[in-house]
Parts: sequence; structure tokens; C-alpha cells
Amino acid sequence: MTPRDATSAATPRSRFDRRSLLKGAAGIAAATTGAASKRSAFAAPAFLQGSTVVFALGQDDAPKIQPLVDEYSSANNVTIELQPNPFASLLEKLTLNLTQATGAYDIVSMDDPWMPQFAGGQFLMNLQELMDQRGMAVDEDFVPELLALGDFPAGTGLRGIPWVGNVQVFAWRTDVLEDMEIAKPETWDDVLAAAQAITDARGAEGLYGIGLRGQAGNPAATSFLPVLRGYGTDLFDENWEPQLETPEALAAMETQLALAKLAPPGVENVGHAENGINMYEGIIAQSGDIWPDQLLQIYDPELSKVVGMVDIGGEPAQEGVSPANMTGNWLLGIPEGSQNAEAALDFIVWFTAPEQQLRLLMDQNIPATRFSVLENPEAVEKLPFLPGLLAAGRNALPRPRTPYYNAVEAIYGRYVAEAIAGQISGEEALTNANTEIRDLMVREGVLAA
Amino acid sequence: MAVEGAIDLEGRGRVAVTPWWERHLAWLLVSPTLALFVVFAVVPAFTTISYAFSRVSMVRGGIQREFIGFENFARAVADPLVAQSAWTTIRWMFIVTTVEVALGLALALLLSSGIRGRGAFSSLLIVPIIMPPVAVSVAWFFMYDYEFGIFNYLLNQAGMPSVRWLSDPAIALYAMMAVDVWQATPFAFLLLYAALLSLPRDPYEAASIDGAGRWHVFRTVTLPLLRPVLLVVILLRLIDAARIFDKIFVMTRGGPGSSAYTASITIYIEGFTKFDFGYASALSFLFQLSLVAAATFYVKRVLADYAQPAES
Repeated sequence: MTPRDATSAATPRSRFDRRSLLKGAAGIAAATTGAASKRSAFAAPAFLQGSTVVFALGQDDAPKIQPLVDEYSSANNVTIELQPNPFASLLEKLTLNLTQATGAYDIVSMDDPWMPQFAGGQFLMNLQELMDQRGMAVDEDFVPELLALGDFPAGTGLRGIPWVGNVQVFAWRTDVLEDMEIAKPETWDDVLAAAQAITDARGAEGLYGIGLRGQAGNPAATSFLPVLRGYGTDLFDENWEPQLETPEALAAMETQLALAKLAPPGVENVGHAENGINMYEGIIAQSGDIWPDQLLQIYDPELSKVVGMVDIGGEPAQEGVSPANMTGNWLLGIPEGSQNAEAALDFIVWFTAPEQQLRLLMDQNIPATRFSVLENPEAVEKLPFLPGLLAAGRNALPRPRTPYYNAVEAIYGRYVAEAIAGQISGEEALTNANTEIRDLMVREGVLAA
Repeated sequence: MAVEGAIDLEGRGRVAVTPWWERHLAWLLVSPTLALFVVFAVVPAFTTISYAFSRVSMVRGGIQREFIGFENFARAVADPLVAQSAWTTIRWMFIVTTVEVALGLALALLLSSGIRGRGAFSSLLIVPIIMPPVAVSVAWFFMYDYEFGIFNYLLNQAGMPSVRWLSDPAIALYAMMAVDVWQATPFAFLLLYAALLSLPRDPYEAASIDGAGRWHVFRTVTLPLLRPVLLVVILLRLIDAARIFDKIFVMTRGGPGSSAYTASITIYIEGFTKFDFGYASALSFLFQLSLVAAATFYVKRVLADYAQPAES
């Protein structure tokens, strides 16, 4: 076997726990003194005018940011060409284009679990170095835990700036719990008991105790991970040894399977959109897998049947386990190979400034990554969950920071889905997933055989 | 000395030389297609084969390949998901092909019997073929919805309970097969209908004079005459069904669980979710090899009886 590349070898040592995350964030914040927010009224330097910047992003985001893009383009004589893609297709295109440095894109929008692959492989430019050259800096208004997601391996420099402050939260129907005299669930045992009571009492009328995602891959994996963590374990230990064959993982799986039985029929195929719809349509009373875009729908009176009836908080955790939420931020980066890096940087700085973030939040329901926006009184009045979201973001952990996370997620996400669909038992699912993930890590040179 | 391409006109020693392009006209005409075939079929095929024997990593500015012999193939043989998705693909191929060809033949027979409105009916039958598979899948996805779908609504109206069409592992694959049957049956119908209309009338007249019944005529006249076309339709449908991806991916992404993972979906996930291009290439290679071997066997053993040398 040939030696693995430096990134792979470095990965285990640079595991992203809360401590290293905060350390990195503090470092970034301390090293910066300027204020990118000042760039909001900014006009691009003359030498950038007339350039074209190609921006690859998710297809749902493209129409939302188009007004801002048009505004920037006309004010600066810089063309921003949006290239929207569905989620899975975006990952494929970014992987191929970034690793091969094709120069096809100048700005890319990335989900934070992709950062170890793209930033760790140094397929993205070091934004900090680019900013230094231009005399710019990232300001301290960014939530440090979210900003640090762009610094991988921690301390090597910022390669992505967060622009969508996605954090997974636990959401529950306050009216239902009050009616049934159920206290706000703190542990997964509480969640299960509440779900059982609600489905038993009101399932016949179409209200179910819990909502989760059972579709194979990312959906089932993302619904299961907070439960797993809530039982005091994680996918890996500090040496990247998979932890799915542990008593904690088995208990988490049993809870997840019990919850799936109390979810609305068809949970086996539920993905992100369906779980959100189930919440705002008033079909489910709890979910540990709600994201800000769904919260914004839940609070939208034109869409939601449960406005003012949903509260959010930290993910439940068993007694003695520290609760933690999970990040799913989107970051902007500049691929190596971009021929318009200067113009791209200029746009990113302007686009992530507080004024633009506030407009994205207020007009387009895109959650921010800055204190000043998340604490803005006008925004909080419109979206009362923002303080809870900020608190969740500050208490959030990313998914395991390995360049192989996509493959890991595909493996355990499939087995969890198989267990939910009744194809295999929960124990089999965990044993198989553990074996396959270990095999993967051995093949990639992270673990010894 | 004879000159290549020279023609001795009327034996009088006057020689007309055909220009080079005319002499090589056949090659010139075929060369653009050949070039495209090499670039888009031969090169990717050889790349896939080379990847199949390698561990492929995307590294900065390039692709890193490490030769690992048959390791990817050994993994494939030991991988239960590969066996499971192969079995799902085989079931899909044979069930949808059987139903589509049977229904297509029945419709072709019905319309060729001279019923009224056959023109409008055959036009309507073409509609599913021209619809994009993704649009068809989305429409059926909503029709299958547990809460709001038309099928469960109709069942409920008839006093029956709702069915988890796409989320019950025992039902979902067959529900998605129905979508394929809806869309691909007209293809079988069209080819068989055209073949039926072109059958010679003499055998039918002879059978009629002999007093043969309709079933007897179908069994002893129509079916034997139709058999070559029928076998080609079966082959085309089998090959197309083997590649099924779009409908399943749109409706359940291979679910519930992994119960509807076909060969194409498994290859896609290995290649574009796990980015394990070496393993995905090995699976593609095995899949293609199986298809080519089966198709070759079918053509040589089943269709060979009907092959006739071209008239000279």
C-alpha cells in the first residue's frame, strides 16, 4: 500500500471537539481587528470591475440571494453568475471541480461536513491569507463556534466563511405538551415516553408523538446522530475507532426504533422536507431533527398551522450526558484554481456583512451567523426563536471532522434506515455499520488493520 | 502496372482515377461517429477498467491511482449489498418486462382487431413514452402518498385501509414497478402493433377457410409470425429495465431502507456519495460484463434462428 496523503494522516490528530473548535475560534477572533461589516457600503476596486464570478450553490438558495446578487452586480460592474444545484449534485460537482482545480467556480457554498474534505485537502484558498494581502479581516461579530467551522484542520487558516447559520434543534409543541400535562422532555427516555403518550392518545386524529427521518443515507444518519450523542457516545472515539458496537449505541438505536414506530406512517421515506412539513402541518408534536429553514416555515403564518405553538431547545440527553446540538452551516469558499479570486473575495466580504445577513434573514428566511443579526431586536420580534437558535449554535458540535464523513454517513445512514424499515434488527445494523466503517477507515489508512 | 482506383474505360487505354475521398468515402462518412464513439465510449470504458483495479483518490490537482489488483472485485463478491441489489435488479428486469410485453401485446391485438377509436387510443398510448421519467416519478410519488394520495383515497372510499405504497419494504418495489409498466408498456405496444399490421394476410385467410378459432389462429399463426419482433422487444426491454435508476431514485432513493437498491443505485452511491471511484468502477465493470454476456447469449441462442443473410 502506498503511503496515504498528509491530510488523511493528519485527520485523526485534528479531531474537531468543542475544545479545539473554541480554541480555533478564539485564535481567529484574536487575530482579527478589522470589521468586514464596513464593507457593506463598499464598491469593488476599479481593477475588479468587468469581471465575472461563477458561484456554485444549492438550488433552494439561488432565488433567495438573487436580489442581493443583482444589487451587487449593478453597483460594482461585476457579474455574479449563479450555478444552482440540488444538494447531492452540488457535492458531486464540487468534489470533481475542487479536487481537480478546474477553475470552473470562483465561489462555492459548502455544507460544513464537507469542509474536512475540501479544506483539509487544501482544495480551497486560504481566505485569511487573501484578506491579509488586501488589508481586510474577519470581524468578531461572527459567532465564533460557527466561524471556526471554516478552519480545518483547526489553526491552519480560514478556508470558508459561514453564511447560513444552520443548527439542528429539538422542537416541541408547547400546546400539546401542556394539554397533556407533559413536562418538556430533557432525556431521550422523556421524549419516548411523551411520544408514546401523544401517539396513543391522538394518533387516530392524525397527531403523532415524534417526527424523524428514515430515508437511507444522510437523512436517517442525521436523525440518529443526536440520539447517539444523547446517550453519551459518538460515531468515533478520539482515535477514530468506530463506536457503534457499544451499549450506549445499542440503547440509542433501540430508542430510535421505538420512536420510529410512533412517527407518522411512511417514516421510512421521510426526508428533510417531509419532516418539516409534518411539523408545520401539525402532524408531529416533537422532533430532534429540526433545522432553521424549517423553523422559519413553522413561524410563517401563511404556511404554518402551528405558529406560536412550537418551542425549541437543546437536543435531549440521558442523565449525566452533556446535551449538544449539531451544526449544519453553509460556508462560502474560493476554490484553488479560481481565476477571479480577488473579485470572489470581494463579493464574499460584502455578502456576509451584517446588513446583507439581516436582509437575508428578514426577507428570505436565511438564518444568520452573526451576533448582531441574531440579536437584532427587529429580527427577534419577527422570529422569536432566534435567541434559542443562537444558544444552540454556541452549544453545537459539528459532525465528525473527517474527510471520509460522506462515506461514513452513507454507511451508517443506510443501516439505520434498514433497521427502521424492518429489514434487519437494530443490533445487526450497528454491528454491520461498525464493521464497514472500520473497514473504510483501514482502507483509507486512518486505522491499522 | 495497375493503379489503385483507376478504371479502364471501355478497354481503350483511357484511365479515369477516382478521387481519394471517393475511394475512402465509407470511412469518411463513418469517421465522425467513430471519433465520438472512441472519445465518449471507448476511452471511458478503458478508464473504468483501469479504475476497477485501483484505489482511486481525488488529491489536489489530480487523481491518484494505486494498483490493487482484484481487491475491488473481491470486495464486491463479499459485499451483501451487491448481491442484494443484483437480485433486486434481476427481479425488476423480469417482472416489468413480462408485464410490459404481455400488456403491450394484448393492446396491440386489441387495436389491430379493428375496434373503433383505435387512432385516438394509439395516440393516447404514446403520451407516457414522451413524458420525462423524473416528471412521471414525481407525479406517481404524490399519487402514492399515504395521507393525500389518490390511491389511498380510493381505497378509503371503498372502505379499505390505507396502504404504505412506498414505505413498506414488501410493497414499495412493486409499486415502483407499476410506474415503469405504465410508462414503458406503450413502447412494447407500438413495436408489436406495427409488426401485427405488417403480417401477411394469406395465413389468416387459410386459417379462416379451415375454420380455425381465434385462440387457435393466435397460437398457430400470429404468435409464430410475430415471434422475431416479440423477441427483439423482450431484449430491448430487458436491457432498459436492467439500467433502472431514475424512477426509484426520485421516489424513494432506493428505499425503504435499502430494499429497492438496484445495481445502478448501488454504483451511484459508491461513486458519488462515498466517492469510492475504484470500487464503483469495479461494480460498473461487473454489471456491464453481465449485461453484455446475457445479451450476447440471447442474441446468439434465441435470435439466431431468425437471422437471415442479406440478399446480395
